[in-house]
Amino acid sequence: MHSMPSVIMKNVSLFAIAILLLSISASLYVKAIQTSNETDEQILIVNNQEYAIDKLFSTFEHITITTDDGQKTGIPLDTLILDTGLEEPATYEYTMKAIDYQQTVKWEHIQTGILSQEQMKVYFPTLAHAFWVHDIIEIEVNKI
Amino acid sequence: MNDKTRLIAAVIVFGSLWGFLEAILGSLLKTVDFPYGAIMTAGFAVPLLLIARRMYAKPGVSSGIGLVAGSLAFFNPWIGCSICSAIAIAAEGLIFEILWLKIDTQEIPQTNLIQRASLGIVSAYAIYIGGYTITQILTPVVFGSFYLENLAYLLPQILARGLPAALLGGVTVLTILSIKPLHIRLPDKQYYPLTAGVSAICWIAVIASWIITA
Repeated sequence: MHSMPSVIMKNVSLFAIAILLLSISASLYVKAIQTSNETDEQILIVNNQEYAIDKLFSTFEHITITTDDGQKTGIPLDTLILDTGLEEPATYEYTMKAIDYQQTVKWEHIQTGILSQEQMKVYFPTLAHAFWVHDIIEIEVNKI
Repeated sequence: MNDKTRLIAAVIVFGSLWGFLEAILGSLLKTVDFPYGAIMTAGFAVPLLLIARRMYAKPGVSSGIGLVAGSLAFFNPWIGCSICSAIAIAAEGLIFEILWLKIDTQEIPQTNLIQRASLGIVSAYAIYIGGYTITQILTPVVFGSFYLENLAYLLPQILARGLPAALLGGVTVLTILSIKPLHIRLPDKQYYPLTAGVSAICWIAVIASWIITA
């Protein structure tokens, strides 16, 4: 003889509907944010200064670093940041911003990192891949 | 041997299968740009945890399976951050454990199709976004660079990414719960060599891949 379904089982459909509504709303929100940020201008903002992306990669020297995902080539992030005129860089933290993702790193990481033109992606050989933000639109600099 | 030993063997074999699938199949899906996290969670992790839950309705089984699978993920040669993957997998097992703590599997025959699919939606979504969120917290913590505002910035993306997992979880759990569980008890002479053999194959395959690609 089986017992009647519990309260959890009776209400599980309501939870499922709530989850579907929540995730669909979040998907629409993310899509709207991505669409509103789409622009023809290829600009990267570094420490509140605008850099044209094509010019950026033809101006700065390129270096190759070794990561656990192979060799990567790009602009040294420390060179790029110091180009904005920032002084005492070790007293700041740096947020790599994409439209819907961001990670913050310290100067010690910046010194080993690069910005690659492919996917506009930053690579930090000493950090987890979660820090390798792609489609970067801004590098925000804040005092620690 | 006693039931406790059989249970431990089951935890190891289910965890090894999950870890093996994450390492081999998950890595393949990742290279072809599939939503591999959602597919691995809803298509493989939740079904394995559910089958184990129905076979061995004991506390600690799901979190134990997650720990074994997470341990195997450390040797996954095709991901850059094995600690992120290991943490997420172990967390998924724990979340499933908590979620199903109050659900009596004896009730399943009394549920309708919508309730079964709903269980899948709730389980897969909670496990996927839970594992993802915990990874996004612990990975920066491990590297000494956790910022709450970064997590808040990512929150809509996390909630959105759970949608494919929820939908797939609805289908897989509905399918599994609609199949009558087999009540076969293998004799010890067959049970232990089988579980040990399957577990060993999973571990050897992943560790061999890790050594070869190192």
